[in-house]
Amino acid sequence: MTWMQRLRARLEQRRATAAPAPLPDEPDGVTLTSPAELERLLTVWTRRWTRSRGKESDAQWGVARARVEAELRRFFGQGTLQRVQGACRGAPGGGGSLLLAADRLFVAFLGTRATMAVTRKLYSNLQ
Amino acid sequence: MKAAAPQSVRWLWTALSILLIVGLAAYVNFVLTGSYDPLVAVFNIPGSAFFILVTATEVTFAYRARGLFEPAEPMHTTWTLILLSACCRLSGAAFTQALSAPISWNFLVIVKLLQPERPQVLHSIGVILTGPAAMALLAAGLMRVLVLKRRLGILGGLTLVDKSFIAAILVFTVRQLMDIGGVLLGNRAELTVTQVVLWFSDPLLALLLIQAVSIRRSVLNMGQGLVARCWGMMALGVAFTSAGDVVLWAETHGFIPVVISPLGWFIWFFAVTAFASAPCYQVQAAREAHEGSYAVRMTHG
Repeated sequence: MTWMQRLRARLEQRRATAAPAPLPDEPDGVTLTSPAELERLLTVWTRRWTRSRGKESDAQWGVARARVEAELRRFFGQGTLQRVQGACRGAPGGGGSLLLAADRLFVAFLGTRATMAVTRKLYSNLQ
Repeated sequence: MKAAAPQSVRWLWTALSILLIVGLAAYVNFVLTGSYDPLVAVFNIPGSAFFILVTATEVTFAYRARGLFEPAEPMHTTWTLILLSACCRLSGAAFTQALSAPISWNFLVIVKLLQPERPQVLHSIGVILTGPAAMALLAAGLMRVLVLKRRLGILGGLTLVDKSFIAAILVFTVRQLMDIGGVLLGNRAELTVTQVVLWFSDPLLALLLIQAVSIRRSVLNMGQGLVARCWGMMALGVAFTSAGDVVLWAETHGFIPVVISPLGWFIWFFAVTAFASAPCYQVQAAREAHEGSYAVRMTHG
């Protein structure tokens, strides 16, 4: 089982077991200072992306997705970006998978602190 | 789009270029006059200083790169191993390039402590540190990187050319192990501890080369990101080290004409610069992660 399949299974499991509204709808207000907060923020955004609620939300995600892709390209190169895009294309909750895949790469090769800094930038000024 | 190299990397390669210009001038003098003196002077003074300073830079940046990761993160251990490898190379360079050499700026020469039998002992310690000790630590670090890349699905498969190259390396290593076996079956009385320890260099270098081939393939697949270039530089360092080793072997067996053999000595400067550049890219990646922000507010519709 590849990591992408495991990720997909986790996403499916998370979607199935998720409580209706334990997490805030305003992730931009979260101050990232610990890995737990990073995970919490990513969970919020992944859910929003998965649900894809309405046109306005899609536009926000278009910006967020472009930013994630730019950061992936900057740190890991065009080839990695294409590989991650390819792996996430067919995945359920596609954009959310891209977000999590990018986060895994950032945490592994840049460290948690740098990832929190990148994530703060990625989701700044988004609603 | 290819990101610009960090300033530290640009400084390192500029310093290397200056040293190469001076070295090539000394080499031209050697070709024209047959005198080794200017060439030896370049390798003994600016060359030794370059080795020590650039490796010290590598130690500094590897220490900073290690500090970017929490102790529980896999890359923390990886950078610890690379840092220890760099420390071995730095102390080894200090022993081989400075402390064991009868040169005017050697501290032991200045305080008159370099007795006739000491240079050989110090040199042996230095060779072991820069050879098997540093290689084993680096191989362990690179293995962890490869495992992590595989786990994250960004390693990429090897091509037929890569596999053929690895097969050739393995054949060469088996051939060298057979040579060692021949020595062990012959006269063992003349063997020294240093010789026996140095036997591990070639298998370790083979392992490093195999890792370098995998990392090179991964870098080609990944593209020109800062993290990819960090590990690409590490692979380049291993490749230059292997090339330097091959030149030494060819020189020992008389396969290289005397007039061009000094050119092969310059390879080691490339190796040390490539190794030092790798952690610079990692530190730069972390710096860029913390810099700037997406200041433009999202407009709806």
